Amino acid sequence: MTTTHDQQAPVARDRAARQVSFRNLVSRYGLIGVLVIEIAVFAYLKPDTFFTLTQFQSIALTQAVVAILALAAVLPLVVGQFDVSLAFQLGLSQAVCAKLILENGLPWPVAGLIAIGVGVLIGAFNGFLVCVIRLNSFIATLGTGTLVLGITGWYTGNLQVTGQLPTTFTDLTRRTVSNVPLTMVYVLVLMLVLWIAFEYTSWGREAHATGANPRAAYLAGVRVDRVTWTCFIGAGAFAAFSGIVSVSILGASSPSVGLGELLPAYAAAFLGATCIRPGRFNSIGTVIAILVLAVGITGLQLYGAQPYVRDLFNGAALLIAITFAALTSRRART
Amino acid sequence: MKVEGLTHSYGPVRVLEDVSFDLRPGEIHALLGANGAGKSTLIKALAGLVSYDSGSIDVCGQHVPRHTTGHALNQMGLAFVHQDLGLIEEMTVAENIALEAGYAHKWGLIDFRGTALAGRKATIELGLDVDPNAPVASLEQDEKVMVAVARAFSLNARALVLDEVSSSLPSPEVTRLLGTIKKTTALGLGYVYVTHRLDELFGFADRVTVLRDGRVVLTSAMADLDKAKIVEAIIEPRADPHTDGGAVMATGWSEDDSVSPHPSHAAVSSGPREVVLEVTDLDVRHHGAPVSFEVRAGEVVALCGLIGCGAKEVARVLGGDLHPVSGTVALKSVPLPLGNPAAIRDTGCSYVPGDRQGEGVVGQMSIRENLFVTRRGGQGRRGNQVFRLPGAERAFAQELADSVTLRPAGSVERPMLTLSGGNQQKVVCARALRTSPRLLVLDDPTAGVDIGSRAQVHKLVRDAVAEGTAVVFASTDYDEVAHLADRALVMVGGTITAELTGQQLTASNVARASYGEEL
Repeated sequence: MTTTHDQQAPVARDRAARQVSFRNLVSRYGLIGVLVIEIAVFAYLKPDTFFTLTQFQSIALTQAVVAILALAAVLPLVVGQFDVSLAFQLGLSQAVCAKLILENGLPWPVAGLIAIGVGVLIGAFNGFLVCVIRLNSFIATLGTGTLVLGITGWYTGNLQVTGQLPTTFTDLTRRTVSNVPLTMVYVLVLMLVLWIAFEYTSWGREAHATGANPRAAYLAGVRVDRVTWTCFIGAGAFAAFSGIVSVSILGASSPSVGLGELLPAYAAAFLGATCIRPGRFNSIGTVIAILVLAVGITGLQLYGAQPYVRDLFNGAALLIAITFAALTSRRART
Repeated sequence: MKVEGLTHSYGPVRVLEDVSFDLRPGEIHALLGANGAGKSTLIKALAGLVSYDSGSIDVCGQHVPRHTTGHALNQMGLAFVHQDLGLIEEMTVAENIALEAGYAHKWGLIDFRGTALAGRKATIELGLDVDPNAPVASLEQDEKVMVAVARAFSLNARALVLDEVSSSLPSPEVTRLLGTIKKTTALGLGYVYVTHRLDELFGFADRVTVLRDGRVVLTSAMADLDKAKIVEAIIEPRADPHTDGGAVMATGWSEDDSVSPHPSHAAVSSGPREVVLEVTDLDVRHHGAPVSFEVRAGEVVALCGLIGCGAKEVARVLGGDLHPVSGTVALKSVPLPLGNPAAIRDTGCSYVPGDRQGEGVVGQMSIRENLFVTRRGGQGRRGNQVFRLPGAERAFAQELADSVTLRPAGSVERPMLTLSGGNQQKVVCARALRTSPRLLVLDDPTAGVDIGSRAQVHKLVRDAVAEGTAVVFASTDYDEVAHLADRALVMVGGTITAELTGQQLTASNVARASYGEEL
């Protein structure tokens, strides 16, 4: 088999290689292409309302929380686990952060650190359930998530926590640096942190191997449980951070956040796995996916689309993208 | 059942040549042969899973058309019970039988009492006394085999092929199973009994057929045979002149690219070196005497025997995959943290697992990432790292890929699953040796690997040995054992029963010892 390959005429091999690399290019950057086309179409159709600075700043502001939550979801997904408690952790973090500042009068950096600490604890608990008790992560985090939702309701009395937040705290998200909203900077920084961690560190390599073939990783000497655990903890911290950002944006906490944020976050994480590093959950792809979804929805809403269009668009985009990815990878394999 | 003149080729290779075979009612006919002799192809042909070029198969006087499988074949009277039995462990005995034979019905719904009764009837007929409402998981291993037999019998099967059903059973259960099977022959049931354990056959089988290289080399009544005669028939006679003495090395080496003398043999003759690995009273299963042995630096020790002899389990213990029942393993006098692969890797022991796809490679990841899957970098400047610089890593990966002549040559960024099995194995071995381990453990390193890759894997092992690495490998391939090892420990039933070195270490001697013959 190998000999026939070696003996192939160099011309034919070149052509085959070129075809492969073109297909590679399409699957790698296809989603970016979709984003560019979306922007071009809406910019052409609605130059006055869509293609404006305010519109882009508004997208950056409204999508920041879901984007950070999607990045949080990527962490357990890489090691082959689900964490559906993340959106409820976002809710608890909102409540903790808002209450500590508004009712207990703590300075916002302290409140923020405590909120992140809570996230880390919940993540560690999830990791314990999955790595030590060996529960299925989907079911275990469904349990933790529901528990966290209940705790949030209990802690806040099921009420919105609102009031006059310090401007230093609200400025964290509402300000712009030379027209670039700060929220976008946070998302990009977190995205880069994850990218470097997963692509340029041994920990990231071990995490990817754990997700792709846990048996092989384990036998090669990867401490599979430890890696999985750190991913749950990291996800908890990221979800808590998204809660802090949302309090800063909204100026309040809401007792009922949950599925509304969870589904788009997971849609983006899965959609993101079809580009940049096709077949792998990755942070850059996830942020691109958030933008593809947000730009599409915003554009349609300028045409007076109803709010439910958001769900229609998210769901359809996800199904089309993963079907496409599955078909191309099957063709590449044969 | 009657098979006549069955011939089958895969491309130019004849795997079955004019095989004729018959089974009389009430007879137990043992089918024997070494790995690759054609046994499994014959069974697959009978089961309708592979086609054949010429020949015919008759069951109970009826001609069986090609590709008749499963249920249809069963109703003609021929059924198969494989090693994994095909029972659903969580369901009851009666339900397992009803899955094939059909449930009893009442008013269009399942009648569980009727089903249980039918199950009871089917098992009792075969002299098997089990509760039809007991889940299969709660039964003894030999009872499970009989449930599978009862299921086939209730579907009118009168000829049964038992394919290595005893290989995972401890010996008391085997004795019981054979007793039950023997009794059922009174009902006119005939069995084709496939096994590797010759000792089972005496007092059990009526006739024996031995396959070798796809041909029937022996069919005879059990009464006319002894163990030595059977082993003689199973082992290829050509193995002897080939693997004896100095001529062996010459033929062995023609397979490899290297022309240097056998380094490990040279090492042994230059006097004893320090002991690297000490295995003391290792018990990997609950039966058989514990295993003890030593391995010195620069030595290659093979653990070999028939499938199921326990050699694989010893290798898995040394690799960290399996926790033994009892016993200790010391690497340079320091106890190995058994059952913890990561900790064992840290002590300088590398492992090449037996199941390449499931345990060796991460298919979706690139060759480079597979080579550097853990943070371990071995001694020196490539020691444990937190950050990975892809540039440097790529250069090192390319160097490793070239050193094992990975084919097709090209980028180390290709996904692993684009490589052939042999080339994947080269990558797994290169990864294991990248860290210059003190001990290398391999589990059947060249199973299903093409000749070229096999030679490369052997060369990698020899190069490591030349640098003082101690090597332990489990293998069921006797030629490989004779070719690669300095010393072979032959295991039977979980115990080391023979140790072969020097001139004695030939493929045929290893085979003889594996079948439990005195040398």
